[in-house]
Amino acid sequence: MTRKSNATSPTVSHIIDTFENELKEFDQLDNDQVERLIALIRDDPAINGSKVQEAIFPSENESEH
Amino acid sequence: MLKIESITIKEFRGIRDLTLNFKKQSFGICGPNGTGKSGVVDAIEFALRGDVTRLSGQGSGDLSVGKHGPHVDAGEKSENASVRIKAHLYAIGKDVEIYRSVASPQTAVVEPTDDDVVSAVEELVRHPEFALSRREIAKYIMTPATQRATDVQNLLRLSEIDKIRKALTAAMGTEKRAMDAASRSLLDARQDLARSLDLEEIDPSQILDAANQRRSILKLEPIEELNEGTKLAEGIEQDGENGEQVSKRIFSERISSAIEFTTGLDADTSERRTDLVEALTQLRDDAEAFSTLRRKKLTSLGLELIEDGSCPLCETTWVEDELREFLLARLETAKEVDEKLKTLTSEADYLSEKMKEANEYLKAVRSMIPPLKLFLLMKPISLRISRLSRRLERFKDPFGDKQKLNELIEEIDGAWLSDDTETVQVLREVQEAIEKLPDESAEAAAKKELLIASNLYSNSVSRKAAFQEAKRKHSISEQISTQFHTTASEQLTAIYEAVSADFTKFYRSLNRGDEDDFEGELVTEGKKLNFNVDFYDRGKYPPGAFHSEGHQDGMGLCLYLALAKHTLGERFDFSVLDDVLMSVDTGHRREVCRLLTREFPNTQFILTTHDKVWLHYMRSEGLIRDSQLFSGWSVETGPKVWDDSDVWESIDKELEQDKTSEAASLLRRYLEHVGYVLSDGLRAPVRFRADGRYDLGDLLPAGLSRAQKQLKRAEQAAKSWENETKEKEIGEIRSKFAKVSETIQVDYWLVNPLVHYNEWSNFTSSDFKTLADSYKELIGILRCDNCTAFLHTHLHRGKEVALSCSCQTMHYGLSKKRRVISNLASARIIKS
Repeated sequence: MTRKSNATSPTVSHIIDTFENELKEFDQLDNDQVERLIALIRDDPAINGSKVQEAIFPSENESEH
Repeated sequence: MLKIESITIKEFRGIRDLTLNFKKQSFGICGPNGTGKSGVVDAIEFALRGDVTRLSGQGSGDLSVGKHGPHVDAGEKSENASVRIKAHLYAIGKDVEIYRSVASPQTAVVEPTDDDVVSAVEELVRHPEFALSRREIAKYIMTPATQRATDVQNLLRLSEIDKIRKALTAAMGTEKRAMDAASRSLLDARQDLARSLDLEEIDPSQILDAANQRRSILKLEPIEELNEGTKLAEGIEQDGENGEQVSKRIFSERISSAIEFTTGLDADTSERRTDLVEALTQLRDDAEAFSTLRRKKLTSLGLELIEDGSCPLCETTWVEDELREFLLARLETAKEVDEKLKTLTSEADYLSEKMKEANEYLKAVRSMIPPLKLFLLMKPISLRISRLSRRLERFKDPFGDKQKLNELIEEIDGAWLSDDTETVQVLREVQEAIEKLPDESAEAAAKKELLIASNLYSNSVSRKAAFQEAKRKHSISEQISTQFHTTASEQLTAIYEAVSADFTKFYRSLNRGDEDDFEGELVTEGKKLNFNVDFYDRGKYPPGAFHSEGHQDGMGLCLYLALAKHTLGERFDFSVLDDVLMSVDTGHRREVCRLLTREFPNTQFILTTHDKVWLHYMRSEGLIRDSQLFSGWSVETGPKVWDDSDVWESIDKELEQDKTSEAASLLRRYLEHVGYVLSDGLRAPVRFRADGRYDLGDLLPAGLSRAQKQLKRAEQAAKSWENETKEKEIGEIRSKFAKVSETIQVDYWLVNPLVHYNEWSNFTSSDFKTLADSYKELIGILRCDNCTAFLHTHLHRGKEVALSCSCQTMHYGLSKKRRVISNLASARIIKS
């Protein structure tokens, strides 16, 4: 009973699904960016601004660091 | 979620040892107040979540599951206090056994231990909303709009949405700041470029003209156009020395700007610094405000770290939503201080920006030291730069620590002025050195200025690229954030509309014929979630404005059901309604049963009530098949259970052991129940009692007498319609009824409950067996074999139209056929 569950409410899941579909229509984002961002949103309970930036602009941020 | 097959409760709350078989179907638990019904609800909640809301929620004070979960007399057996549930998990199609003991409430023993089973059981912990009690109804109805928004959003698990929204907004904010910094950097580079060519405007054509003027002096080809790769000093050979070119004019301008800015700094910031020092001192000396501020930081952090309902600081176990609510309430109290803090932060930011600007000037001056060969001034300028950097450090997050706050106050109040004065002195020394430089020839000046401008132009080109990249990132992060906000808002609006529509549908069905045009709506307004309902076409008002308490309770139940449907969707297959139905208007109880049966056919409801008529409705409307009656409770034994489905069998068992008194007690309680149901269902006139404590003598004779009269009416009606089959059927029922009534001398035995109770106790077993069998036969006559419901009267527009059971197998019209009177006959009647 210590394993974490990633279950989300149907309401939240539905919102994230819709958001994902809309992001896929964005010309400025490629599939990898969308996948990384959605995976972060779905699975990381400690999501924050820095993680979002890393998900969207991974290589650029790494090179800047 | 799941459906429960059975629950076994040992030494838990008011229960010693009890097993209930729900058979994965809806189940009713009925008994007077204080007989242990809610103990079963607590046990279900404990088994599924490891917690009991009544022992850990708001207002529970020092209560805890560990101390107050075990039965009060459990003593050393308290370690045996446990609940075991056998259930079926429909989502994964597996049976599961969940065992939880008070000794380790956070650890459920789950069998089988398959990953998907364990994961499904863990999911239950996150859904406390399966249980709704009478007092929780108010949570959705009579609550401030901001609190309702929190409660509903918690139920819909929307805190995750808020977290995502904040993360996306934070990312956008960071990219915005990066873009602004890149923009300022580009502007600075362009201004430096303009200054290097002695220009007021940063205009490409002017830059090109100015560069070509200097190239003309040096007899170099003019540059046709400015592009990213343009070299303004193309064709010029640099002198032997590397490093920055010394241009007397450019250096003079730089040092003048630095001196002007630094000397004006004190006056420009004086008033704001005085105000800020005063405000910061007040904050430092206000112990309560300072403590609130520090607590706020801890509370905000705590909110982020809540996991599985455990306090991140002390690891006390909470119901997760309640811990969240508690911390949010604490944050609310810190709002005033928080607002003040925002102002202070903004003022401090202004000052730190000024300091950063001063530092940039100093760095520009430092770059002129090597070409000017003023090495003695390098150290004091570098010292000032590093001192300014250290001072800037003091502006970082100074409010959570008193010592840091003191340092900031000291910083702003004291060293500011003297430090600037010293800096200006150093700058003036640099200025004097520049003024001493020999005047240059036009060619030399043109060469140096072109070399400097060329470097600055390359710099501005790269800064422009950096700015454009920062702008692109910001634009993407802004679009993502805006899109999420739009998606979430649209979906939430759609959800609230869908919840409103379901709520309206449910409430209308509960109040059919009374509020057919009723409408309710959930509407967001900023952080509020307003809930307004129609009041008989007079407009929309909050539920508490005009509707009765009974109607409000009906609304609470309907809103809960609508929200649960949207929260759990197909997974809303289990729900406990703890005495909730009792609060619904008496006239609408059947409708509640129909609503639950019709709208939630796949949901297992565990319903508790202290009203036997309610229980009867649940059964007759097909909501439940089985139930458990709690006839009493004692601290030593826990609930006294009694099942009316095998009452006759129980009576026979008592009589077999010659326990007439116990058999009499059982029969009496059952007949009270039957009297209650018959009187209510047949609308029997009952002698009024203000205390509502109707007993056997009040109810059974009234119910039976009414049944006789209604059967007689039905027989007459059938006769008027010349329906011989029905007439014969009813005639046989009446005849049988009369015969059995006579056998048991109903009128005699029911006149005085005390007398007849004692009389029964004095019967021999065989005599009492005859009496009990007669009652069984009498009651059987009025009860449908198919649906087990008693005959009850049906109304249409207030008029009694039929006598029937719930499945209509027994159905007898009460309206007689109207006689048709000829014109001649009617004229005679009028004349007479």
